[in-house]
Amino acid sequence: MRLFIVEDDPYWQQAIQAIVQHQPEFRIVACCGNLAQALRTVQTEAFDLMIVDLGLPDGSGIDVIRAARRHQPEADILVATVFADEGNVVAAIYAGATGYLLKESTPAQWGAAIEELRAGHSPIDPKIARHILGAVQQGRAAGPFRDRSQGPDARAGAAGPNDPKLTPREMEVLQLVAKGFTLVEVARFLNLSPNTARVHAKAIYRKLEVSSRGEAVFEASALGLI
Amino acid sequence: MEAATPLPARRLVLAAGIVLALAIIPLAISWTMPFAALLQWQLGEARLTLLAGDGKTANSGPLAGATSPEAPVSLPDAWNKTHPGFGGTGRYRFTVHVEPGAVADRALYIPRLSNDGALEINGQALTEPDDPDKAAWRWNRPFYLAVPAEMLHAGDNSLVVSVTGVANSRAGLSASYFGPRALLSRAYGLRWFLQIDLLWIANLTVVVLAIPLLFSWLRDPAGSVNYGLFGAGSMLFGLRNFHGLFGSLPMPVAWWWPLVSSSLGWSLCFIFVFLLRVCDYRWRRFEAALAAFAIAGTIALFTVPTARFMALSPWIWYIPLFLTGLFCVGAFTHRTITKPTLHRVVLLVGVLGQLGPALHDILWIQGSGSFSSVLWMALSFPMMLIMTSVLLADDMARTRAALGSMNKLLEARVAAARQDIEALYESRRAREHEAIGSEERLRLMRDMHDGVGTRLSLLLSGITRGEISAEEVEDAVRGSLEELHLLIDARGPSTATLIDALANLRYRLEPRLSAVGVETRWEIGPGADNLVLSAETTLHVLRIIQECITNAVRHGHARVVTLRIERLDAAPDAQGAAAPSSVITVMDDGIGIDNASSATKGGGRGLANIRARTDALGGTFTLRSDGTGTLARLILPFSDGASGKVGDAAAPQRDTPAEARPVPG
Repeated sequence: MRLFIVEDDPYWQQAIQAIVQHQPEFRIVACCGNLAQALRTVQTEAFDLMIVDLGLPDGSGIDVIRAARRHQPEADILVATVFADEGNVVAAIYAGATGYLLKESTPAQWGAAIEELRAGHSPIDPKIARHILGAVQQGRAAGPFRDRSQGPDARAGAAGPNDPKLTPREMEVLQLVAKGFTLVEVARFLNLSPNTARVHAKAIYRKLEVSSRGEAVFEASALGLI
Repeated sequence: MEAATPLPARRLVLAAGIVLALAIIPLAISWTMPFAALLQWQLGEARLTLLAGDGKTANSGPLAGATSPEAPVSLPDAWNKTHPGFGGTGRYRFTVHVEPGAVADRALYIPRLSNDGALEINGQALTEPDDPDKAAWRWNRPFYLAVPAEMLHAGDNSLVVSVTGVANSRAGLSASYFGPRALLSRAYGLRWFLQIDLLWIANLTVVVLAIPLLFSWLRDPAGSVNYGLFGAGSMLFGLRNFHGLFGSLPMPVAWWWPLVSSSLGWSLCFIFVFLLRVCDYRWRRFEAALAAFAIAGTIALFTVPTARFMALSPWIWYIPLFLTGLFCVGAFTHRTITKPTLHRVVLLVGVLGQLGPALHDILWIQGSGSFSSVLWMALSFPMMLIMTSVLLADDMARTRAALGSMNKLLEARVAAARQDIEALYESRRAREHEAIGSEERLRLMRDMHDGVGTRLSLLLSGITRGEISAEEVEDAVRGSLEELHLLIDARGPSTATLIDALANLRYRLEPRLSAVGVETRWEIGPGADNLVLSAETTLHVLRIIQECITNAVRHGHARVVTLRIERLDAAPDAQGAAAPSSVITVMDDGIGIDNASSATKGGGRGLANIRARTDALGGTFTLRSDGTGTLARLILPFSDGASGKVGDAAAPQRDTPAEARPVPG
């Protein structure tokens, strides 16, 4: 599997390399330390998995995610973050990320996370679920409500295009996760197989990304979300 | 007057033009009347024989006993004046000369023949061919008959008009004409139009036009009292004027004439008050006096002996009314000249237009006027009413226009007010947000200082002195990270309720616990969804719960840890306020506290910390433990699902029903 690493901190570069070295099937094809380099490289280098840090010295990793999604639509994009704060993570999801991981995780957790991601399972925690629910509900309630409270100029477009047309089942999954239930429990409540429940998260992420395509739309939604 | 008027001159000219045109109508009619041509056919002196009778039967024939000798009389002959109190039949005998060539072209035209009559030509009765004219009560109907040629012969002919009249009922014979059919027929047609058709039209117009006035008064009794007065007067006037069209007497004369007279007076009194009110003259005493006069006059009219009615009624009723009317019109005129408004000016023209007809009619009633004449006021009055209706319509149109602009103004004001409120709300929200934000930052800094800061500084001093091992360093750093995660769990942007925070905690701990083979279970009780605590309290709660879970795993060797959140609605306290509580339970299937090895117990410092925190929160912490497990329960008051606010640390913490519930073993 071809890995594309975007990480400005040399320590973390090494750490990530050390982590993936345990997995013989992993091959690092690129390791970029800043945004410009990453944007260049992403156009030429084919990869299966990108691990990206959002805080780059010359910009946001979100731009890299968006470019990567354009050039490698099938690749998985994993955001490495210290706190998995919902603002950054959801912005990354809107740009096209399919997973995220706490940097402090152990090598075993890293491996497991990557495997899960390749199996089509995206991680989703209560904060992220609530944030997505909030954005979706705001989007549905968009129009008159927002206009009245905020005036016509402010953010009117923020939520409109954000309606990712989630299915009722996907909404149920999000609501249960938001309340602290694990995907296994969610599957039990909804009479799903655990695997199906886990796949829902990734489907939701892809819908969010699709719904936010286009620069202007993205900017607006990012404003509305963060 | 017009110079003093602040109104557009064009309107005045228009109003004056309309009035002038209306005033010209009677004049034009009189011009078109073939007076001059008629005059030569007027019947000259008659010889009258009076035959007394009850007068009700039209056929008091020539055989009835004569009560007075035949005497010369000139027409018109109004009985009230010439034969007061007489009732019966009056035979007017004329001698008419007919040229030989005109025998086939002669007709009789009598403008007023009251109450009824019959004709004889050369001793032969002449009957009316048209049934409709055969009215028994025809005081206001003209009379026309074409005389058949076979009844006449060249030279002198005898013509007898028998007039039947009820005593005191304005009976009599007007000037009469005998001449060419075409000329008389035309005069008769015009007269019929004026006395019958036009009266119908005028009365109907008055009644119909008065209806909107009355309605406008009904809608707004206080504001449109003027229209109400005028509408009432007009309605009464229009209705009572139909009496001119009656073909028979509906009731005895003793009732009929007082009714006809008093109704006119009442309608005029309403209109007088209206005129004064339009001038803003609110003379209460005058109005009361007018009402008293109307009532007293009406009573007098009904009590006066019928025989004396015609003689007395002008003096007790009509003439005072007319004088009062003159006074009111004078006041109105004065006011209109001194303080003109469009309404007053237009009305004044209409009112002045009534004076002539009124004077004419009162003279007719009194007997001084010509008995032959048409009664004018019933015909001229609609003019005034039309003007008033136009004014009302104008009023309404203006009101509506004013309402429209008022609405627009109000809408604009409402919109402006809404914008203001929104701006105010926005700024207040921003301010509150800022206040909450800075408060949050302060707390965050304090938390970081107390938690992470203390740990890291201890760690730093330990490392610089070389006193701590690598494991200890790792532990300390892990602890610091844990602190930071707790902060985020407790107060992230998507974390609003207690459940949100505990869900974050659970999600974060779950992988670690399952890695060591511990299963977590998560239960949310009814009503727990909306429990909201301040961020600071939430952080304390998370620390307590994390400690409990750690204890369960580390000391109790639990395999299953259950975390449950419930809302507990306590019984209302003394003040009647039900104080709901948040109850968080950590249940495990471990070996229990007592069985925990003293090596792992750590001297109970963890528990002491929990209790200290619980006390700080004003809550209750209970612990039940036996060999099959431990149950820790944290009860917190002041949960507030309604406020929905995070960071509500400033909210006063109500006293709790402090007792902990017995914990099920």
